[in-house]
Amino acid sequence: MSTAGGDGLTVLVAAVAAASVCAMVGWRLAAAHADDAVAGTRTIARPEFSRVGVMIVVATSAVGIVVSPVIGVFWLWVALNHLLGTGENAPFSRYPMFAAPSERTWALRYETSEGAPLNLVHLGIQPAAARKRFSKVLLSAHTETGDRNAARRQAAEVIGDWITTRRPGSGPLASEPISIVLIDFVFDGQTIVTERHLLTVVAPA
Amino acid sequence: MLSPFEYSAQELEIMRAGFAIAFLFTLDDLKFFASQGDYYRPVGIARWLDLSWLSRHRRLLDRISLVALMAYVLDLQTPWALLFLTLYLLCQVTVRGSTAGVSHEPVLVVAVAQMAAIGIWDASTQWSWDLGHWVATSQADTMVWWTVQALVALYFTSGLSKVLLSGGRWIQRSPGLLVAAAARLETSGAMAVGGSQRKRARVEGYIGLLLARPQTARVLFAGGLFVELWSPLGLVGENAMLAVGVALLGLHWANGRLLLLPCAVYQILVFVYLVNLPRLWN
Repeated sequence: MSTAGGDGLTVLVAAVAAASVCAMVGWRLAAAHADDAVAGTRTIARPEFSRVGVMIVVATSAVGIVVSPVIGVFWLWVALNHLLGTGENAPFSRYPMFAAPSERTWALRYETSEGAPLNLVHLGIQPAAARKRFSKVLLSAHTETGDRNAARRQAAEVIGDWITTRRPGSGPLASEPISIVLIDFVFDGQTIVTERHLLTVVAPA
Repeated sequence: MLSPFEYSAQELEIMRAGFAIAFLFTLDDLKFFASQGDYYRPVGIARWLDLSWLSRHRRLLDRISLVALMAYVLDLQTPWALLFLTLYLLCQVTVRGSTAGVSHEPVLVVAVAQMAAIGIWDASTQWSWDLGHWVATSQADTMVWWTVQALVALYFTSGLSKVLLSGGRWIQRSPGLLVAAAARLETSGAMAVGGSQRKRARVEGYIGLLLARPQTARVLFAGGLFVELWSPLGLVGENAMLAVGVALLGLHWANGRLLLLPCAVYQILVFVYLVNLPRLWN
C-alpha cells in the first residue's frame, strides 16, 4: 500500500472528478428534461438520493484515509461533515446554504407606521433569530391547520410577542406600531414578482 | 506526490496573527447572540449542556479570550491558550446556532484542527505512537497542515452538498439564487450589512442582467461550484494551493457583490492559510 504516493493522489483526483461529473451530468439531464429552474417543482433531492450520496462520500473518505493518511485529516473532516453536519453539531456542517436554489422564496420585513424598514437589531433581536423562530412556528402551525395564511399569522404573533418584550421603555421605538410583513418572491419566467402580506401590527403596550 | 507543506518561522508568525484577527472578527459577530441569553432550539453540545451561563459571564470570558489570543500570537503556552479559545468559541457558536440561523464559523474549524494536532502530537510523544504520514516534521507545521486540510474539506463539503441536496441539478437550478439575492435585499440583516441605495441598485442591476440570461447565470454559478469541488486539488502542492486560494477569494468577492455575503472571516483565513503570500518571498 502506498501511503504518500500515487494511490492517494488517484483517490483524491477520482473523488473530485466524480463530483464534477455528477454536477455536469445532472445539469445536462435536468436541461434535457426541461426541469428548468423557472418551471421546476422539486428543488430538494429525494431523501434516498441524498442518503446514498452521503454513504458514497463516507465510504470514499474511509478509502482515502487508509490509502493516503498524509491527507487523512481532509478525508476525516469530509466524512464527519457528512455524518455529524446534518444535525449542525459544531464544528461540523454540510454547509447547505444555497444548496437547493428555488424559483420562490419569502422574506420577513418589519416596518414603522410610515412604511420605513425597521432593523430589528435596534430592538435587540437578530433578524436571523426572528426568521428561525418564525419558520419553526410556521411549520408546526401549517402541519396542524393546513392553512398557510393562518399559519403565517400565527407565526407573526409569536414574533410580535417577542418584539413587545424587547421594546424600550422610552424613545421613538417605545410607541411606534411595528408591522410584520411577509414578502413572497416568485420568478415567473421573466422577472421576479413580489407579493406583500401584512401579517400583523404590533401595537405599543 | 502528496506531502505536508513546510512553513518558515515568519509564515507561522503571520498565520498566528491572522488567526487572531479572524477570531476577533468572529467574536464580535457572535457577541450579539451570546447576549440574547435565550436560545430556542438547542443544537450540538447545547442538547446536553446548559449554555445560558455564557451570556452572564461574557465580558469576563471575552477578556480572558484576549489574553489567550495574545499568548497564542506570541506562541506562549499555546496549548492552553488554544484550548480555552476552542472551547469558548465552540460554546459561542453553539449558542448562535441554537438561537438563530445556523452559524458556520470557520475559525472554529481552524481552532479544532489545531487543537487536535497539538493533542495528538503531544500524546504521540508521551506514549511513543507512530503517526507516520499523518503529521508533518514539526508540531507547528502539523497544526497548519491540518488546518489547511480542514479548510479545504469545508469548501469541498459545501460543493458536495450542492450536488447531493439538489439531486445533481444544482447548476440547472442555480438561477434560483437570484431570487434568494432579491429576497436578501428586503431583510434587515442585509440592511445591516450595508444596504445603501447604491448597493441595492447594484445588486438589482446584477439580478436583472442575469435573469435575462439564465444560461450565462448557470455558467457563472457553475464556475463557483467547481471552485469548491476542485479545492482539494490544492493539497497536491503549494502552488496549486495558492491558485485554489485565489479562486476561493474570487468566489467570496462575487458572493459579496451579488448576495451581500462578504464572509470576511472566510476571506482572512483563505488568504492567510491557503494563499499564504509570505511563501513567495521566502
